[in-house]
Amino acid sequence: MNKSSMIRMPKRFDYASNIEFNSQIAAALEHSGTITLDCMDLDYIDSAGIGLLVMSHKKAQARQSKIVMINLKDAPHEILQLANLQKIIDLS
Amino acid sequence: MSEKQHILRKRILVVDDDEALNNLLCEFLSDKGFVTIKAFSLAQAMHILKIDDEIDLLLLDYQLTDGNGITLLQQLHMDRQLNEMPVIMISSNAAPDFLEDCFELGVTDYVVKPINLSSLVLKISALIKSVVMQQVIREQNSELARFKQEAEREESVAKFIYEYLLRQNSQHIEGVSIWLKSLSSFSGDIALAKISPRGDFYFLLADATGHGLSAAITVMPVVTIFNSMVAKGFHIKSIVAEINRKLIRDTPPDRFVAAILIQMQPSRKEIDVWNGGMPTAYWLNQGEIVKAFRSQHMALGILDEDMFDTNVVTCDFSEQGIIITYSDGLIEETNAEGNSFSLARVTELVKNESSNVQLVLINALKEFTGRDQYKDDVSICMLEPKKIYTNCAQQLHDRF
Repeated sequence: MNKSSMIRMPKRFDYASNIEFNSQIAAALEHSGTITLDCMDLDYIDSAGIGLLVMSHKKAQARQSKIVMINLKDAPHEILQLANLQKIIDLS
Repeated sequence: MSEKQHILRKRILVVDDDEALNNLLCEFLSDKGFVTIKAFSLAQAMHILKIDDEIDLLLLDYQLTDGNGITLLQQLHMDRQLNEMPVIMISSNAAPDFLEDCFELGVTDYVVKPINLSSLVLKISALIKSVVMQQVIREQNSELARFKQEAEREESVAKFIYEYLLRQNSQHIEGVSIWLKSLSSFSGDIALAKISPRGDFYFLLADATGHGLSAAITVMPVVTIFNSMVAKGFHIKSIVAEINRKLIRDTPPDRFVAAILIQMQPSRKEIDVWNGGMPTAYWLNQGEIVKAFRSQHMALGILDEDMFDTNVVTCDFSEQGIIITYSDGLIEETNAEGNSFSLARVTELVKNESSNVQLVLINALKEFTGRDQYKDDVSICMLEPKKIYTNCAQQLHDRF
């Protein structure tokens, strides 16, 4: 069954976010489907944060799941586009 | 830590001249798992404390035939080792000022006669647990200090090797100006310039995730591959593919390297640029942006081989003007108000007619932040094709 889960992104997404985020992803990946990252609160993301996203994309791929990011604010959106993350994760 | 565990084999010295009470207390406590030692007088207690250094807690009656418990405490204070021993005072006096005096003299807790045995045990347990915790903290602190020292030693060795490798791989080329300000001894940013045997000019500016030693280590394969492949005259398309392959294979999945590679072939009058994850590089001429080389690809070390895109941007190239590239440390640096330097600011500043746009940016950053130390590795590189081409020609000339 294809389910979808939602994860609320924190204000600041960097290396310190790894434990929380990875466990949320692990929980979401218990069933395959779409994982939606709600970026309504997200103000800042750095390369470590991008690394976390890349890693979770790979984990999702292995489980026939995918990740999408919604409600992105301008600044973080720009950072993600610079990294060309849209090639592997849906950015809206 | 379970209740049982921290009680086990803890030694309590019970000091009470009332033999019946003393025996009762000891029997009750040893039933609970404690090891008990009896003292029926002040003198006896002092003697025991002198020879037995493994007492974990002192249960002390205030009223003793040969003095009061306070005297014993005063003696204990003289002996610093025993100073940290928890002391529970037994007394029939519950008057607040008396208790205050006791606490001031180093009593940790008290019980009032008639003694409630179960609350006594709870108090003893709590005290012993706290002493054990303190010991754990002390041990962890000294272990931490040991680790820190060892880490510093390892880092200085790594630094030596790193700098040695870097020196082996660097080539100074006239017309290539590299400004790199790293946050620590190790930089996650690296800039390389090399001329191939055929006379082509290659440039690479890379930025590994994070900074410090782990970033610098990630970047090392980038350095060796770039240098060996340029020496064999490979095109940057092959070079990025190989670097990507190596990083996918040899580094953790959350580690990657943003990079911009530039290849100038003097004979072709064209420039090839591959930009994966680095901020926009500019080709400038007399204060005007001739071409912006935006990040078209994902950074190296993310996409598997089958998804990796080696396509470069090719454009007609003359020797006029300069090329500016920089790492995101520049645009992300913030000032005291929390504003970032930003790409917009860079785009405006590069339109400066000065012949040294690199210096313009360096000074602007310093002025914007009010300091010359930054929160990430920052690099700003300037290429002057005219001087570079002269070098390329010279190198070809020297060979034949």
